[in-house]
Amino acid sequence: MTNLQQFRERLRQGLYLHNLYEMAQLCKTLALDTIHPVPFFVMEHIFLDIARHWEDKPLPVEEAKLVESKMIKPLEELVEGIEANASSEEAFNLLNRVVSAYLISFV
Amino acid sequence: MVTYSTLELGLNTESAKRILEIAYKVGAFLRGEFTLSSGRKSDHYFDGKRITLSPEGGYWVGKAVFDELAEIDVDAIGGLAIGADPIVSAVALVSHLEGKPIPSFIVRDIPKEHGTKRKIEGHLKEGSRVAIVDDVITTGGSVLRAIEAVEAVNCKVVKVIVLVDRHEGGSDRLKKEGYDFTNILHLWPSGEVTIDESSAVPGEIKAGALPP
Repeated sequence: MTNLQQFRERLRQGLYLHNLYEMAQLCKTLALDTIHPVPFFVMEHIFLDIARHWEDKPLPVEEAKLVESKMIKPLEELVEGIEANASSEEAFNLLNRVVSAYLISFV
Repeated sequence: MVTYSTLELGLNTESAKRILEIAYKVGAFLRGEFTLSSGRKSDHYFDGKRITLSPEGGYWVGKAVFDELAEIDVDAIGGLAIGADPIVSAVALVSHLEGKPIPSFIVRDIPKEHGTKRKIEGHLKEGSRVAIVDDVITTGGSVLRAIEAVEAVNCKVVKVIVLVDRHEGGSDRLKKEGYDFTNILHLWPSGEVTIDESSAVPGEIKAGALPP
């Protein structure tokens, strides 16, 4: 299984602390292994930041589900775009959606 | 105010009883629907830091772990940040008071983004015999990450001690892998909290087992 496939599989599992760290690590690896590192670099830092929000505190299921409902789809669309060799502009737009979803959820 | 003479109670059972009292007092057991760090869902949550970061709780946890290590030759004690941090500090302090100092260390959950990329901070020499601690064990992932980090520097894990075993497979996993595992409290899937494994009745929720 490639790193990108592993990442997609992890994304399907949802957002919870251990998975966030695993996905951040995969994004770091993927960012170092591509000529277009920006999306993975940004995703890595988003996952680490969510993990910091959720680290060592009781995480109500409702809160986790709310964040997942906002973030999973844009993340999946971004990965699909990367896999489909989206143009820089398309990738940038998809990345914007991910960042917006993150900002709406946490800032 | 309740005062305790210095380290007068040698039995971990006594320490465990005291820790359980403190756990209820500081509201360490919470009800609700929670997503655990492993991704599992639970209708109760144990917040170990409410105990280990309280002055009294920190002392009793440090003492209980130190007592557990009394007969074991360990060079250092450590665990994964953040859950283990107050525990290793408490044990180091108690060990100093007892005249049997045990150096401590902390394992970072992820490598530093910049700088030395050191995963282990504190006092850990290569080849040491170490005890690993944590505030809670569920599937065992956190404890195993700490174990992996110390074994990577050729240390031998001779003891694993956690404050609360949630009995979600983690302790069994460690035992199967050959680690000497001990816990102070049991939090059963039913929500019941006990200090004695044999007193638990799986599936039964005792009234008042958790604070409202």
